[in-house]
Amino acid sequence: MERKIRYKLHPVRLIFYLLFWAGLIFVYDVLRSYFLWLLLIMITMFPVLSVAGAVYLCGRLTPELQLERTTVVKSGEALMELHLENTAWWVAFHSQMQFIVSNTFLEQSSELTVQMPVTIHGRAVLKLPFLAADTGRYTVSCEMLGVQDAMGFLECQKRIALSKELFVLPRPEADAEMDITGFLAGAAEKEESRQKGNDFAQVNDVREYVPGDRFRDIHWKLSARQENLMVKERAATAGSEMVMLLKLTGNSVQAERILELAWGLAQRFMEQRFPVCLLCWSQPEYTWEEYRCGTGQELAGAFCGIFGLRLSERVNTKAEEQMRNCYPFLKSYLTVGVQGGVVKAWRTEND
Amino acid sequence: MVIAGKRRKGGAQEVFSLAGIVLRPEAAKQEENRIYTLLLKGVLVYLFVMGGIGSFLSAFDIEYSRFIVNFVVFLIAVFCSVLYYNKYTMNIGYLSGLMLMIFGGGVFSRFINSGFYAVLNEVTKAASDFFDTNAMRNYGEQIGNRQLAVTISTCFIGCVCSVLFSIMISRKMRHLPAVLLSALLLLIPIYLEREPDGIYTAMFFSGLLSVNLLCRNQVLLTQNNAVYLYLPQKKRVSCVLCARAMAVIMASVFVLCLLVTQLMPVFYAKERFQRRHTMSALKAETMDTVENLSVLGLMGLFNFYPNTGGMTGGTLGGVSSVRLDFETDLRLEFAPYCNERLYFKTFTGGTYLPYQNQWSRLLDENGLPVLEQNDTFSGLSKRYEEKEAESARGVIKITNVAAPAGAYLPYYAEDTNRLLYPGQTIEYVYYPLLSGDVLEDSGEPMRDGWLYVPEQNLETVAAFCQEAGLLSENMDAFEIADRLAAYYQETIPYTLRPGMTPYRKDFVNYFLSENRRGYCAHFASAATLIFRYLGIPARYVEGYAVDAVDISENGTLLEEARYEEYYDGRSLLGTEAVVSVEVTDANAHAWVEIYDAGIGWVAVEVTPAADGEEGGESLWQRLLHFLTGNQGEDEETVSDEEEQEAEGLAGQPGQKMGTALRIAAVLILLGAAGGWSFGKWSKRCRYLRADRNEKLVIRYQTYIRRIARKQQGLTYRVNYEEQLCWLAENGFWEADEEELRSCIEILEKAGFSRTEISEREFLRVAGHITNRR
Repeated sequence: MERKIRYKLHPVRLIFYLLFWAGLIFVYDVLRSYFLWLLLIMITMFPVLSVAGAVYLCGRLTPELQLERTTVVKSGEALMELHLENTAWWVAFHSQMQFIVSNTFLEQSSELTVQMPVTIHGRAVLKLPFLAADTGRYTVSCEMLGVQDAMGFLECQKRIALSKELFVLPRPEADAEMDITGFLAGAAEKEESRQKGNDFAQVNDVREYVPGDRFRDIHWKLSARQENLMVKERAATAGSEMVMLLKLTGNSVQAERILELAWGLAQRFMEQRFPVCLLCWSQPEYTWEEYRCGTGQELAGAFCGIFGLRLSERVNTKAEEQMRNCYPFLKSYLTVGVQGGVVKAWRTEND
Repeated sequence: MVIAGKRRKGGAQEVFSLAGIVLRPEAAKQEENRIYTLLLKGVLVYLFVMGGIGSFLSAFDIEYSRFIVNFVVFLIAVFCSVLYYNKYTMNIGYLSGLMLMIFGGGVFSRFINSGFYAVLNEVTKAASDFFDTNAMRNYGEQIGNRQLAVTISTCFIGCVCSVLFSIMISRKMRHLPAVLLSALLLLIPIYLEREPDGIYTAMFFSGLLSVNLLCRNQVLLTQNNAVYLYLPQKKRVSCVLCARAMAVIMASVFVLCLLVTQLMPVFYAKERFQRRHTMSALKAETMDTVENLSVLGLMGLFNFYPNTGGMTGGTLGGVSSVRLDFETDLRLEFAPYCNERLYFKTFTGGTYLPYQNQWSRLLDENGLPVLEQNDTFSGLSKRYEEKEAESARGVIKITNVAAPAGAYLPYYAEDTNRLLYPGQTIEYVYYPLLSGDVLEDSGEPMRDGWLYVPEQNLETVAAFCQEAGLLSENMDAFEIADRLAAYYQETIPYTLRPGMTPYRKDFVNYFLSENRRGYCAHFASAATLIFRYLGIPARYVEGYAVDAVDISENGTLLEEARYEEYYDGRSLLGTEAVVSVEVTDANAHAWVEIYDAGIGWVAVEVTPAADGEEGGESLWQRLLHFLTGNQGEDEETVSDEEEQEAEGLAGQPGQKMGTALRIAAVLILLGAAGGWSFGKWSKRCRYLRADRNEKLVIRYQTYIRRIARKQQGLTYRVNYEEQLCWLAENGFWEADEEELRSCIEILEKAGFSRTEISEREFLRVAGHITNRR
């Protein structure tokens, strides 16, 4: 059974202290003074009290990690707060927590050691303002809280489970300001050309018109019959949404640029009331993950989903082939990736 | 998994990146309560400074106004600490403070000097009393009101100490010089057996312990007032100072110290402590050194003669003190027959050599050393053979345990010219002198030398005889001996620490006319010359003296020994017992033999009784006692029986072996701990000194070595590529092929290239090692 509290001794400090103690005993033995005897008592008592204090304190500490937000845009600022609640009537100069900050998407991690004071019967707060420099899914976790006794001989380590998650979303790239009308026109043209004779086989459902529906989706004949505007709802991928394939590479810098470009383009499409379907490869499931986004919130959710796997698991070197296999009915789609060493978006024919 | 970390600089403090999250301390800086912290440090300085000064002054019972001194030192300590509020207050404050001090020092210079001299005089007086010497100097005090002068002087010294200590403590808690200085200063009263006041002791201890605690916890006072310090290189956010914790710990320490210093005397009074603890041997030695130094100068630091409990083969005055080890020198087996002191002599002095401070060894007609000349035994043996009533014959077995080679003869024994070497046992036949009856033939040839008094000693000896009233004509030799012994007892104290005889001074003259204190060698040497001066043939003798009390206390009854084999004839004790007695260097002695025409050479005791002075037990002896489980000799709680039992056990070979093993185990443990710490420390130093490439290689090698201890397969992988591939295959290095290749490249670059790897590369590889750990 694993112990709740572990004890870590600092032998070097202890040895030096014992040497000092032995030296004092020697001086006391030579001088045999009452003053030195009292000092010897205190020097002997103090480490015991110090260690007992730390052991007592360790069981009465409760750490808490608070994040201001769970999502933040890249280069945006946020605040992380670490609270340490002490219910004991004793203090320590230092309690130590070893945090692991890891970006699971970009596969980066780093350690952060935080030393906080333990105030008497109260709460110490450490504010850690930060700036998110890289996109991805971050986890900040800590499994151990250590309290060092005042003399520094013993560290009591208590098992804790602190964990918080933070998604850093891409900031739109300047390249995303590119003219997307070509993409939109192309996409519409392709779609229309595919659906010869208003083939109902491609229509999933027919419903009443709601403001915002595209005119080309109106089922004019049915509307004329029912004296009410009816709208055709088409199959998902082959519908009237922009299919955007994220062709990520193993290079984290390029991957970030691709995501930023995709983010920007998706936002532009959505501004034009053109939903986007993001396709991203999932190596564990060996298929394309689909994320449909019509709003900014959905887009953020989609990226959070993309960040759920590691970057290396999102890389597919045979993306076009896989697309043909998985979506044979799709005429073309928009690929965001690296071409000729440059991150850009281009239309890919699925033939 | 790859560790990434980028150092970025921004704002007042460095910021650092944690896998893409950049900490920005300047955005929410948490500042300390500056004034609160500074006040606490001021209190700390006050406790330490006033505790030290107060302890010193109270130890010597020096009168001064406590309230004024405490108030001034407190103000100055707080003022000096508050100066660290910022750099402007610090600079301006210190400049103005310095000017004020110079001004104050100038105005009150006479008071300060006078007070300082008053303190110095008090210390000198205490030292003079302690060392029992007059070689001390007094300084002239200019101010009649001593209390005022000491108060002003103490205030000034307190101010200086507060300033100095504030500088040390308020910046980086560099308290060691201050602690050493205070400790050295306080060692003076402690050495002179002066105990400080309880409250000042508590203040000093609490200051000392608090500073030590704050220092151990790296409590600093930074210029930017930040509670937290960001250390990008160590990836650490560290709390610099927590005033609340500091206040709580300081208060706790003070309360603890106060409780200990105030309550301990209730349970274990100072007087009781002093009664139970005699002076240690080392301290006594240092006292001798100081005394010799004051009398002889630098040459007094050296002892020239071996110290065997005062038994020096006739060489006199070379040791300042006699140090007894109480180890067994001789073991005697005999049948006690009287309550008188038994002598075992090993040296008989012939001629005294003045200024050489030596007794020449007695030589025979051929110039060879004579161990013993004692023909009295022939008369006594004749009595025994004729079976007279007051006659007897005894046998004594003497074993030399650890004494120098010598004769160790009992009086009136046969077969006298034999040396007894350590480890040997010898058996003497002796004839006790049971009555003072005059023998018909003493047989001792008279020599001129037995009446020789060197010319250099004549004057002093004559003056002493006059002083002691020994020149009366109607006294026989034994009456003179009694009077001399009585005079010694009254006027010249016995001490084991008489001090060395100064150079170019005669031992006997110095003893009789100047020093007037000494141990047996002093009394016996002087008495020998006195007897000779008075016309009584006399000679100086050294050896061991065993009293009846030694036999009763240290003797062991040999129940299996047959009494008839050891003694035959009349016994004054009337009991038939054979005993074994351990003779230690505490039994070493010097005495005088005077010649009586009827009896022959008779031992005469003139040395006065000791006043209970004893040598302390050394640290090692106490350690030995501790390890063997026996109590020290000064433990009153142990009964005599228990002590004897314990001593008996300690003497057993098994017990000694156990002791040796325990000492060896402690030494081995200490050695191992020391070696381990040193190894760790040197490795850490090597790592800290190394550049980034070396650091990575060190970390990698340490990791590999640790795995290789359990995994034999790794032992045969000799290069980075092979090792890393093996580690990856066996699950010790989690990385895909691309990552593995990168790690190999980085390691090869670090190990074989002169190009320094980047921090990102370093962290990339080090991350694997850290994660595995």
